[in-house]
Amino acid sequence: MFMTKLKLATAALSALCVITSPLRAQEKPPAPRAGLSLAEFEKLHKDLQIKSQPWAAIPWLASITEARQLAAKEKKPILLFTGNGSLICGG
Amino acid sequence: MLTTRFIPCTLDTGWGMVPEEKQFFLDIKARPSTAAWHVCTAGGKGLSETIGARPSGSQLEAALGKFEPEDDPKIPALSAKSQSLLIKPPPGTLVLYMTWSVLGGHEKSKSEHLEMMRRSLGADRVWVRKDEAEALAKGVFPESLKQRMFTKSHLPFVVAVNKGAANQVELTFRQGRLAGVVQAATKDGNYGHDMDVLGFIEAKEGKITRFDVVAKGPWWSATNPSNYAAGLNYAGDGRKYPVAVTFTLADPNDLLAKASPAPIHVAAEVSAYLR
Repeated sequence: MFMTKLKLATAALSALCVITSPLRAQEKPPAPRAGLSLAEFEKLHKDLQIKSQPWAAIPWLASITEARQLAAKEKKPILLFTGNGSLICGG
Repeated sequence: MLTTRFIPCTLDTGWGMVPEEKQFFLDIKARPSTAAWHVCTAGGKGLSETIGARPSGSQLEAALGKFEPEDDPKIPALSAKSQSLLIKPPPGTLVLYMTWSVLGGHEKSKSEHLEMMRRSLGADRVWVRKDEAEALAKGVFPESLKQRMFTKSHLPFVVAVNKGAANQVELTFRQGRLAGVVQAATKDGNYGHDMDVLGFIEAKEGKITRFDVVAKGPWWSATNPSNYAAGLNYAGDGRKYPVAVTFTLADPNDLLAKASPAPIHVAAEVSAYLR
């Protein structure tokens, strides 16, 4: 009787260990993210500068009135680039 | 040639031209289009028009050949009502340049044009309220600015993950160093991004002197974004692409810095954008 009870208890304990082991594995915290390194930050920040773009070197006016006034003063024609939505916005 | 023989100007016809601009468009006999180049005089005479493609050197030379300087052309000043319609930042607003690019992930194409478009740099401006700038100078990164940059306005506007995406932003700001994570994903898994953020914000005598922030990580979209997304417009095939986004302090007097932020036009008013 005692041995039977001992066997049952051992089996129950083993079953509990089998059940709890995966749960313990799931409870492990995820590895922390490495994040952005300083070197990567500096490279990306430098590479993605708006002023590095060839079009950014052109002195675009965003006001047709200002362009007309300057064109009249400098006696030059206006080169007007028009679009439907977000011209100086990488579209 | 563009900078020496012309006055270059760009005009967005999609976001509410004021009446004087509409009249000028009629005067130069511009045809409606999604993108066009016009050569015209200050007085409102159209000299050439190229729709959908940039003009060639010879076309520009031909337009220059037609140009005659005008004596005292009539240039109407904007009316008070038109002035009130112009989108301008409130006094004390900081301007940041925002740029973004797809960093790779494509199979190389034989088309040089496609390769160029894939690598194209997106650009916009972010406005930072005066009180937000003051908070930054005191070492606090305002929640409103965080939302404008990453969850409610600029980043969602570009990456177009507004389709019911759940946003998560975990950022710490200590001693001028901003670091953390910006994530978004739709339940169906079709849209999202997962970016690490690192940035440095410095102030001197209560004024912001440096604002350099970079976010980088995978972005994915089942469809091409339609929101002026530059290179992202060529990566909407469901695969994950490495994307980087930067925010940099601009000189508000720069011509480049004077374009208004794109999301303002979606918000329809400046106050809603700056909230």
